[in-house]
Amino acid sequence: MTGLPLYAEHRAPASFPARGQGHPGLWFERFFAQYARDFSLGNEAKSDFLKTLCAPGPGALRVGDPDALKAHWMRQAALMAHRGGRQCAFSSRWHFATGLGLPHPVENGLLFHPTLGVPYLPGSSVKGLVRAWIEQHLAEPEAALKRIFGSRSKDPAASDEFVAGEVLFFDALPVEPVSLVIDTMTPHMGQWYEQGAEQPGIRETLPADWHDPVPVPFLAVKQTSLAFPFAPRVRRDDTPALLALVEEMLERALWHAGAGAKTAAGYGSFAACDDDVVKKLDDWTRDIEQAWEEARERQALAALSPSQQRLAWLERAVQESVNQNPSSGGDFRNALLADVREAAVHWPEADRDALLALVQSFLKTHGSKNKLKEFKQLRRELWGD
Amino acid sequence: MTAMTHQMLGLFAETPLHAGGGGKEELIDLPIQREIHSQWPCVFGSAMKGALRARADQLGMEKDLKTTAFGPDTLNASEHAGALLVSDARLLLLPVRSLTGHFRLVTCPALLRRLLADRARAGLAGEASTIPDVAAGTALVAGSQQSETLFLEEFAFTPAAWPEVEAWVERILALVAPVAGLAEDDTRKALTTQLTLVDDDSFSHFCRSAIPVLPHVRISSDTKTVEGGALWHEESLPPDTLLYCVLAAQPPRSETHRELSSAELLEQTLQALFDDGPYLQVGGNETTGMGWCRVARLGSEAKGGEA
Repeated sequence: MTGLPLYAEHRAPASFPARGQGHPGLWFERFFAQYARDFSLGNEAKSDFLKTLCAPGPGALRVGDPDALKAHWMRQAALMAHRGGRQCAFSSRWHFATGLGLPHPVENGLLFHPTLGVPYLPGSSVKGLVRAWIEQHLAEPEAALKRIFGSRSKDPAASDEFVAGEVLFFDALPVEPVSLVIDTMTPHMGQWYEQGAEQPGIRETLPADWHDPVPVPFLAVKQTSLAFPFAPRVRRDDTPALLALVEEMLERALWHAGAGAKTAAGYGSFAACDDDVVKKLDDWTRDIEQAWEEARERQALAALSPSQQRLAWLERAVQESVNQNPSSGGDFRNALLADVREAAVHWPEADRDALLALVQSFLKTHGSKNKLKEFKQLRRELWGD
Repeated sequence: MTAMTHQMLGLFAETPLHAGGGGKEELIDLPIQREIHSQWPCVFGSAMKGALRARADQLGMEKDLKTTAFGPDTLNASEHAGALLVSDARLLLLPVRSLTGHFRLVTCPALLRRLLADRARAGLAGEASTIPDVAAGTALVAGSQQSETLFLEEFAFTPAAWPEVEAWVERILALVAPVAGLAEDDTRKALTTQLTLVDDDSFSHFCRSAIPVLPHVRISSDTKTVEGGALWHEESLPPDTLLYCVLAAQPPRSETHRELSSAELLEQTLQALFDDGPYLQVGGNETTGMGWCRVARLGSEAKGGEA
C-alpha cells in the first residue's frame, strides 16, 4: 500500500474537505493529527480537532447529503411496504449522542453511518431501548416481551419454546443533514472510579466535590429528526395491534428514557416531529405512493392481452375532449372504425363485444349521424346483424 | 444429465449484512464469512440456500414445488436431491468510505474477471469487455473525476480514467433491482460517480480493514449496567454492498414434477419467491433489521440480460 498518512510522505489533507461532501466519520476516525512530537495531547488538541467537523462560521458544516438521505428513506419505505412495516419519525428536543463508547483519541467516539456519513442509532439500540421500556413500564410484560423480542434464554437447549422475536427493528437514520456540536463533560471523580475499590477511605479516592474537574470535549448531534423503521417478521391477525403497541412503547421510551448516550444529562430525548419535518415526510410519502401507483398501473397494463390493452387505452381516450370535438376528432373516429375491422378478425369475442358497445355509445353521444350510420353498416357487413 | 438452466441473482444490501463465519478472530468476536484465499467477504451457498428456503416457507410456497426445488426435509433426505443448485453469494462492489463523496463502490480486476466467468457459466455471455490493468496506488474512475487525490479510508490513490466504465456500469446495473420512486437515471449517475477500480492487493486490504465492526452490549434493565459477558464486537457488510449468486436448476427428480423442464422449474420457483417483492433476508440478526437485500433476477432471456 502507498500513501499511509502517518508517514513522512503522506498526502493527508490539512482540513476536512467539507464542500466535497467527504465522509465525516472517516475523517473523525482516521485523520486525527493533533499529537505533539512526543505523542502527548495538549490542552487544545482535542477541541481543535473536533472544530474541524463543527466549527461555526462561513459554510459551517452540516454532515450528510440531503438527496442521499431522501433516497435512503424511500428505499426503507419500499422495504417497509413490502414487509407490512412502518417508519415513524421523531425529533430530538436537544442534543443527541450515539457511540460515545467507541475508542477515539479525544476519548469519546461518535457513531457515523458507513455510507451516509451521518450519526445514527443502530437497529440493535432501538430494539434494546424498546425492550428496556417494556420491561420496566408495562404492567405484565412477559407475554409482550416474548412475542416482540423472542424467548429470554438464547440457549436452544434451555427452553422448550425457543423462538425469535416477531418484530424487526431497523437502523434509525436522520431524514435531513445534521449539525454537529462540541460539548464538554467535566468528570472530577476519576480516581474514585479507578481506585476507589482498592484504596478506599483516602482523600484522593473519595467521591467528593473537592477534586478538580477535567474538561473533556466530545462531539454530539444538535437537534435532529430520525426515522425509526420497524416491521413484523411474521404476519398474524393481530399484527397491526402488535405494531401499534411497539410504536407506542417506542414513542414513550424515546421521550422519557431517551436514546443514545448521556440520557441522564438530558441527551437523546425525542418527541413528535416539528411541522416542517412532518410536511417534508408527507411530501416524500406522496411522491413514493404516486410512483408505486404508476408502477402498479404499468404492471397491470403489461399483464393484459393486446386487445385488452387497446380497450383500456380507448376507454381513456373517449373521455378526452379533443377526441370528442366534431372538428378535431375525425382521425380518432376513423381509428375506432379501424379497430372494429381489426377486432372482427383478431380479437376474442368478449373484448370485441366490449369494443362494439364502446364505439356505439361514443358515436351516439359525440359522433355525427353519418359516422354512426357507417359504423352500423360496418357491423352488418362483418357480422350480418 | 440433460440441460441445466441458470439465473444470476444480484443482491444489493439495503441494510447491514452479517453472515456469520463462526469462531472468533483476534479482536472481532463475530466475524463475517470470507473466502479463505482472498479474504473477500462472501455468503456461503448453504446460507444462501437456507435464506431462499426460509423465504419459501414464509411465503407458503406450494409444498411439492418446494420439495422439488430444495429437496425433501431432513427425515426424508434419502428420497431424492433438490433440483436447485445455489452458489456462494460473491462480492462485486464494496462500499468504502472516502473523502471525496461519502463513499465509493470499490472493486478490483480479479472480481470483474470472476464476474465475467460466472456470467459465461450462467449463459449470460454478452459483449466482451476488457478488464483494465490498474497499478498499485492508482484508482480507476469515470473520466470526469481525475483532478484530486482520492482517499479510500486513510489511503491516498491517484485517480485515472477508466475507459470502458460505461459498459461496466450497465453490466452492474443489471444486478441492481430498481426501487419504485427512485429514478433509474439517478441510480445510474450515482453508480457512475462511485464506481472505483483498485488493484487486487489494495482491495484485499480493504476487505480486512474497511468493513464496519460495531461493539454491542446487553444492558440489564434492573441495574442499567452491562450484563456479565454481554459485550461483543460484530462485523457486518455495510448497506449498498453488491453481491451476486448463481442459481442452477437441474431437471426435477421428484415424482410430482417429473414433467417439468429445468427452465420451467427455475422460473416457477423464482416467481413464487419474488413475485411478492424483490427482497430476501440473508444472514443473521434479522430482528435488528439486518441482512435485507434487494434482488435482481438476471436470466439469459430475462430483461436486462443479454442472450
